[in-house]
Amino acid sequence: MKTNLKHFINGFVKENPVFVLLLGTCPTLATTTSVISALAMGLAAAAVLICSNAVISLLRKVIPDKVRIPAYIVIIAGFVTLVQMLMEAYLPSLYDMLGVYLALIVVNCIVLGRAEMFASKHGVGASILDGAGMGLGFTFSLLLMATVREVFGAGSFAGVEIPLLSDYAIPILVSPPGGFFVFGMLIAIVGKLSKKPVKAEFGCEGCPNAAVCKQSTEVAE
Amino acid sequence: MKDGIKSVIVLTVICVTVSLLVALTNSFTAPVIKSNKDAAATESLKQVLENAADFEKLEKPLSAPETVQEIYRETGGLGYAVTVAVTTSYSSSPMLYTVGISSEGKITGIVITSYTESKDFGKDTYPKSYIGLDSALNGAELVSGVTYSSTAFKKGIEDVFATLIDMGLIGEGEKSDEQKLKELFDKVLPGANNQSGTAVLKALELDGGSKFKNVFEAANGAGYILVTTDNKVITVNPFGAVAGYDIDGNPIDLENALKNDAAGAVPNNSKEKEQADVKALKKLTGEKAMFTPAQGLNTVSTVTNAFIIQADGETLYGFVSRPIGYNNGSMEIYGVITEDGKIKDIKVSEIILYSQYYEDYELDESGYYESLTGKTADTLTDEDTLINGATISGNAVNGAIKDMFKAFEAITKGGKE
Repeated sequence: MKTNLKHFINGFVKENPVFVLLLGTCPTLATTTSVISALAMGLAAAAVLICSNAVISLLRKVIPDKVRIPAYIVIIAGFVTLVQMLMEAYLPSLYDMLGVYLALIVVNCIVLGRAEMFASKHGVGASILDGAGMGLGFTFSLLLMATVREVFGAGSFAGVEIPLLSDYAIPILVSPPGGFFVFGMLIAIVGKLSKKPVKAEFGCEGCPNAAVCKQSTEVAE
Repeated sequence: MKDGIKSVIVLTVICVTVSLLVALTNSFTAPVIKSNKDAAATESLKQVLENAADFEKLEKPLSAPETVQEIYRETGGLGYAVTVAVTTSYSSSPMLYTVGISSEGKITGIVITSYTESKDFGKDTYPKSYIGLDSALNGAELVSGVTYSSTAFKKGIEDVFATLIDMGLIGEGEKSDEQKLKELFDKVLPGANNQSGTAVLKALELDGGSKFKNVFEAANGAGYILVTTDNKVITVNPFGAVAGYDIDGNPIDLENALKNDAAGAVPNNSKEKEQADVKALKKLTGEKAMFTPAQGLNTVSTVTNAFIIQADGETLYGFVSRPIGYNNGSMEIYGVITEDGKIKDIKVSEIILYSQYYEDYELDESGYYESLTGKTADTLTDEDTLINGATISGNAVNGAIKDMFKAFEAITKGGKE
């Protein structure tokens, strides 16, 4: 139970996909111009993560190693297509807002990364919790970044104008350069708060996933 | 081998299962998506036709202009909504808008649904100026500074009216004499038109005893337009040839006295222009060349001067064309054509590089002219004169060269077109 909870919480802080693992940067920068689109993107990605993690975990002993990547991609693409269809039918305004970035969840490193690194090596329950943790961690990161960008860049929150701030908005924050600026600042803050010095060398030891990876290898053995 | 077969089977099963799941979801989301799209489309139609209940799509006639996309009839008989897509000289993406026309033939509303260029065009204010107008579009003005966008917009509206009138759905509006004259000016002196087809004219001051109510001079020197008190339109080309039209644009025979009055009413400074043009053309033919003005040419085009040239025992034909280019500015293009109808040399005045947006643009002049040398009226293509980043100027050069070939034909066939 304690391990499961750890899997869930990991995605929020220690292995936060956006600010620690630096995955999914493209949708992060593109959809965080408003809180609503960030929330929609985060929840859509979370739904895909949870479902694909569950299915891949369920089929992990059936899928031959040789074809595991194409099989994962087909499963992930299937879920993304389902989410797309459902959003277009029942949430058309959000569907229009997310545009091409919704379909691009298929190639989001977080989804394939968790399938390869976690779901293919753990049970269904743990994989669902990992997907939920990572998905909600992703959503939380997008929300945080979108809040900074929309509140200070457009003077509003979720489309609702904030008095005073709307008169002193900094429009560059909602433009791409502002996105990179806020992204960098948040990475720095999260790095400082986690008090984890950045390693000079890259490699397995320097990878933020090293602990999970090692643990997974041990489980598999 | 066994592993390979297992891989194929597993991957196939996964693909088939996923496909079935997607197909199942599609079976219940597709109708919802379709009804959402229909509702959104109808919504834009309702915006242009107030109190509209529902619409039925009409079949577009084959003869309808390309700009007219879809035609809808309001089921209660209130009128019609037409979707339009027009392209402007500046943008490759079309401007999309929906026009509402009442059953009486008057514009009830216009909504621009997609337009990426010239934000100053005024999505809200400019289209509203058309509301209440009939097919005569009396009072519809172009917007200075966004002439190309507003011209394309107006052309789309004209196409909508033309289509609905052709289909017998609405009646034609009556144009005022002023409108008819203005439209006629764009047709009778094509050499004075800018690249969007509008004549660029300046009004001349008249003496008290003049028989004409208006005299206009083409800004590029391509001729004059005179309007008599009984609304006859007379053109005088740069070579002194006079032609007459009634207010509906039909050619008419003019009395000799009126012809003489018209020719006498326009300024005569051809000698000065001639000398300046000869000087410029001598840079292409050599200083020793002998120039004889080609007189009485009746072509109506951008060609403002033409010469028969004797140079080194060879007969050449020299032309000066002044098309309207970027920002309604007049360009100067000097061309020499050989006796067998091939371009010997072309020189474009440097105004082609004067552009608000492309100040630093540099034209590889030698390459540009070399590609034109040897071209004939039949082998010249639009691509030959294309200048990336200066499309309007490139098009103007193309039109000017075509006009030179027409003038060449007229001279070599005895001064007649």
